Amino acid sequence: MAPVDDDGSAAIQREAAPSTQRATTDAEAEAVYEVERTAQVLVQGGYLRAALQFPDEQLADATRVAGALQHRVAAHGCRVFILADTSYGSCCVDEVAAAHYDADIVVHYGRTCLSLTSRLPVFYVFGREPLDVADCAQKVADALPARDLLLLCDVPYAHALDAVADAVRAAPGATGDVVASTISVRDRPYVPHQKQEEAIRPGRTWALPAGKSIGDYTIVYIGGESLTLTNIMVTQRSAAVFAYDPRTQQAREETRAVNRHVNRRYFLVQKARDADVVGILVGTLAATRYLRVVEALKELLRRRAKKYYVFVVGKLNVAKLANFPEIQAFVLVACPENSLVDSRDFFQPLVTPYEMLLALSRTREWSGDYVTDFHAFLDEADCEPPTDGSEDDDVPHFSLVTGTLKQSRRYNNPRHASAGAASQDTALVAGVQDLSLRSKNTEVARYLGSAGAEHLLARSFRGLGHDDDAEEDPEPMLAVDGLSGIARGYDHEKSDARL
Amino acid sequence: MVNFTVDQIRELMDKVANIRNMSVIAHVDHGKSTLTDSLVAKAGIIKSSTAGEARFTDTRADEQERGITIKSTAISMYFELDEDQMEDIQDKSNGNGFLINLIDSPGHVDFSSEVTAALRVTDGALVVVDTISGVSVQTETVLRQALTEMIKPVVMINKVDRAMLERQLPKEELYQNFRRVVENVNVNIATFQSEKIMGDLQVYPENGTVAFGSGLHAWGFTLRQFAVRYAKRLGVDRHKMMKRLWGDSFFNAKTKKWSSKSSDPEGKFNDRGFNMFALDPIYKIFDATMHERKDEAFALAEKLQITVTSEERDLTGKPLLKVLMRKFLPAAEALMEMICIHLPSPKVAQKYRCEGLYEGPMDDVCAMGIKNCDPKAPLMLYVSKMVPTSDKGRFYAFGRVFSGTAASGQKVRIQGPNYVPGTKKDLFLKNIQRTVLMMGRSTESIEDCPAGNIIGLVGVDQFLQKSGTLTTEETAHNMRVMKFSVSPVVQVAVEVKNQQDLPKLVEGLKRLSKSDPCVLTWTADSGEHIVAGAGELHLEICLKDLEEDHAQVPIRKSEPVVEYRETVHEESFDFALAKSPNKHNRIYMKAQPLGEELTNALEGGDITPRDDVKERARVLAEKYEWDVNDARKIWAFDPENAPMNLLVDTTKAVQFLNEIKEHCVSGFQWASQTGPCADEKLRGCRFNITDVSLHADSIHRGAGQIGPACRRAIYASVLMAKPTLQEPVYLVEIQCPEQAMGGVFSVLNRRRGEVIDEQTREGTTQKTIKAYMPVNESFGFVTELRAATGGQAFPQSVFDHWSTMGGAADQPGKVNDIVKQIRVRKGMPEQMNGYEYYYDKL
Repeated sequence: MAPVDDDGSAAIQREAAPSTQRATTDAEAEAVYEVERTAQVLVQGGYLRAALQFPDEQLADATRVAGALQHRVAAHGCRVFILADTSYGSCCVDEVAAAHYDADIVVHYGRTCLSLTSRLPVFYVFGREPLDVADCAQKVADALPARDLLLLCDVPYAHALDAVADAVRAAPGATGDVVASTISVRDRPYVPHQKQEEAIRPGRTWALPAGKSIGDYTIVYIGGESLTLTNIMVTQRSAAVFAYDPRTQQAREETRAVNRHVNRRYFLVQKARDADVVGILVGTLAATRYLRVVEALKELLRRRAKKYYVFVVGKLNVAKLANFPEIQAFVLVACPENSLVDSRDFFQPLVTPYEMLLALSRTREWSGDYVTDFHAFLDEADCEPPTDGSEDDDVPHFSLVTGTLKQSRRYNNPRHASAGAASQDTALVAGVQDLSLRSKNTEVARYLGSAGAEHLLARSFRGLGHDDDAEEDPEPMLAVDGLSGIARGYDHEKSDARL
Repeated sequence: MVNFTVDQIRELMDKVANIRNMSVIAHVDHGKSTLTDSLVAKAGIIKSSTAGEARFTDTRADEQERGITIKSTAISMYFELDEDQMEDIQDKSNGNGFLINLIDSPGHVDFSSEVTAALRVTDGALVVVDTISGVSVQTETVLRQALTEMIKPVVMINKVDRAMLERQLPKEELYQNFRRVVENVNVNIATFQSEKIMGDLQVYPENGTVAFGSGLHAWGFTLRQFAVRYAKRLGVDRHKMMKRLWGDSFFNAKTKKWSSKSSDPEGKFNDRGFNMFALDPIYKIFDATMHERKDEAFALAEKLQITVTSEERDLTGKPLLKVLMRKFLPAAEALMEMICIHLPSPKVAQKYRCEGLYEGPMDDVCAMGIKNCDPKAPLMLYVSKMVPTSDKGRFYAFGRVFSGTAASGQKVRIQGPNYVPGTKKDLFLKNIQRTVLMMGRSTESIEDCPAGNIIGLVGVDQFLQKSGTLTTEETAHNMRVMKFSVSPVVQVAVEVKNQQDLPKLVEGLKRLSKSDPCVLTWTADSGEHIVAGAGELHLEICLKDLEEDHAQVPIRKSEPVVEYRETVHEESFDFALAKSPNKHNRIYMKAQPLGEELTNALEGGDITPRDDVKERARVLAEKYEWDVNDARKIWAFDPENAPMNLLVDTTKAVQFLNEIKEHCVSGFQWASQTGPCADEKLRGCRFNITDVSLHADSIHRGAGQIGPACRRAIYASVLMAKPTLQEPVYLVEIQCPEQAMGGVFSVLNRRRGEVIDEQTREGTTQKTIKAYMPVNESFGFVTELRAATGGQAFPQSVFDHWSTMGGAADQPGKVNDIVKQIRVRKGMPEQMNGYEYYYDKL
């Protein structure tokens, strides 16, 4: 995400950065991208149209891989396509784009958030990054002797995780329990309140010995700094998180950054709490149950009489969201790794569904627990007691952002609505909250609790024909010539020697 | 025991002419709470033998421990006046029972906001001044506050016993001392009083508006008391007698004649009336008891009609002195008399206070109700502070009924400080659950409370942050918001030791912010919880309360830090250009300093966004040399109340400009909140939008394009205009003896202090030093000063102004170092960006 206060060149440079994983020869490509295994899956499944999804940094290898793959599966009537430009994050499977090609399977390459998909079967090719097992085990054993360890890894290192676990167990002085996680993308049907067995989030499963909880374990994460790591750190309440970066062969304990991060998220929750008009941003069209999450959010917002709008904007950027100044907070429904967006540069706070839940709840307070998984969120949202619409509803809350009391505006108030149905007249008279707009012909238009109308009225420029404050300049403006030329330099600016 | 009942009080509440609402105000350690004790004792609430030591109104354990008052405490008392006292009351009263609602306030400057809240609900003030240290910094401050709130003062000159016992001052010197104190007080009163509205408020001992005494020993007198005594004996009019007891009026013992000269024609000394008639008996008692001549003392006592019990006859020295003096001249008697006779009743006071209290028109039904103190008019009640109840997290809303009657169960409109008449903003319709009488440590339920009384309310605390207006009248405007003399410039970040305790901390912060009129709590965008207070002591108390009472969880606190402001030294050296994200729009901007004078005028509310545009432009042009056209095109003030920065449109003939105004303003507001150097607020900057080119198609010049561009243009323009920081500066006043001056100066020097004034107190070797000192340097100042002067110097610091630091933030140097420190603390990259980072090339 390019910050608002830079010129965007950072983003360009980042995308252009050569991938460390780039294969230089066909043979390497075959190995790294597991062409052989992929071909087998395609043929065995009898798939006919396979969409290949590469992350941006690996697009350079795409033709080579596609060529090799096509070569192997052509005989079985299968065709492969390369998907370009993912709509959301490259970690998520882009089902919609795949559907454009009428694909029946998506082959996803590279780093992934392992979100479950709902429509298409997906075959993940993580790629294999080299890992110095001995060095890794040594560093981990040295730094964390006699502790219970839970090994997690970034997907490219999954292939070596068991080896690392064995090596750590074998290391001298290692007395603690060592558990290695496995990566699986098997789906479980969503049943409300069903305790999720051993796995806490999809994608990674582990089995802890009976009687022990994750709090007793130190998480060892193998992989570089990434959203996955952040996500693990904020969601898992383990004793500590320890990261080993195979590229630099450095190991360190991760604490401070995550505290800052959690604090920052906490601030966003507070801002979301103050918001009366909320935008629900759909940031994925693939992750299973995203629609249920959106529905759950709508229900929660409706109960608290907040106004909401649903947005689909594709990849997020500041300018897109800033076009909706009336929205006071956005909640982003996206895969776990993409939903933790640092919204410092955005005009409005950007929170996850769980954070929104925290913000809306009167009883729930954040104890530092964190949920990014949809499944867990739905459980939590389901627990939320319906508000009884009692008097207490309009007790102002103490806004930590401003340090003062904040009185919530109530939109689409059910009580209000029913009163209106009973007697239109009284509804019109009673609504002191509602705004009335008096035009020059002394017609009074009343907007009953409409967030949009309210915002419009608060603006100084309301578009053509709405200029009520035209007294200053009652004459209609004459049409004049606009700018001409191109954006890089309009015609009149060419001669401008100012800069 | 308590010699009045709640019913008696309730009955009196209806007799407005017999009510006195008053606060006790003074410099720290001048003896407010001690003095208050004697009144409380007279009311029978505490034993009179403990008066002066119990400090009944210091209800908190830490107040007792530290010996300072932290929270103001209210107490209602009932007294009866005798006949000749009644004669002197000028306004018509109803019976001789009087209800005194007294608020004891803290004296330390850090808690000035408590004083402000107390003054708002009272009509009179008892100003306590230490005989020895005289009128001090905080005496002046509270006096000024009282007078601006239109509160009538009376003065008690306290600790006379010390002057006599420790200083061994002879009578004439003591008199001169008194005279000086009275003069000093009057100089202050004369400066700040609004004579036209309230008449002359200066105090005169000969009128009975000054009392002398000792709170600790619980004795005190006014000249009226002595006058009454002698008037009977000598058979003269007591009013005439009073005049003789002060000033240059001398009595010749031989001829029994009064003269205005201190010596008679034969060269013999005449005795000053004050010395002879008032001080002489006191000195005699002191002399006899302190020199163990008990027989003489008892003889004196008999002469003065003091009855001494047999137990008391066994006492010697100071305890005996205390008993005799207390019986001879009970302090409570003097105070009560002074309060009842000279302080106004609500009925009198509200007539002239109404204009200063009420924001609405002076002829509406509420204003009339306030002016007449009418219990049948619509309710107008101002809540000035919140007092914690025994029920954790709940508060009594403490305030005064100015008009109408507040009753339990009554439905009222609760209007917060941001309420705008005719809207529902900051407005709640709720019931008052209960009305209670505040009695120091306890409360008493009462059914209702008519206009003119001070009251506690149960059940409205949730709807008010710190203060607000309660009314039953739909058209009522707000009562004016209180203006505090201190600002919360020192802050600490707090965090819980265990993350699970976070909700408790949040709840605690909410309660803390409610319980103190001045403290601010909020969450910085880094997620840190910030508590801001007026000074180190204030913060210390707040954090202790937070940890022990409000949150009750272990808390980690950061070192105190101060807030800085970002500003510019000069005009941007070139036009700062920023393009919108789509590169189709550009904004040209220049930053320039507003100037300290104009910034202060904005912050002080002399120039506001609500002013008439043309009027404002005229002022700006005449006083601040603005171009009139620019002055008419101020697009935005930030923040809205007490603005610090301006956005001005200086473009010529730009298309679609009115369409993007909104977006520019939002970008401007954001940029002003977080400056480019250290993420601190901008202050004293003027931004001129000099030119704009916009995409012809409105969809490409929406909020999403213009807002960020405007923000970047502002950042670039700041960085092109020699950016720097402003730091908050305290005005420090230090009182110390001459020999401690060296230590004071060396400490001030080490802390970048700048001495601006140095005065010797008349007749003493006491020095008063005034200096400016950066707040940032003030941490630990008190301790260091005490150490360097052997505990002889006492500082009082109060926020005074923002001072622009020399040097530029982007050049290596002190300012740059501070910027780096702040950035690291906030988790930002240490190096700030240069203007090139925000500046777009064409």
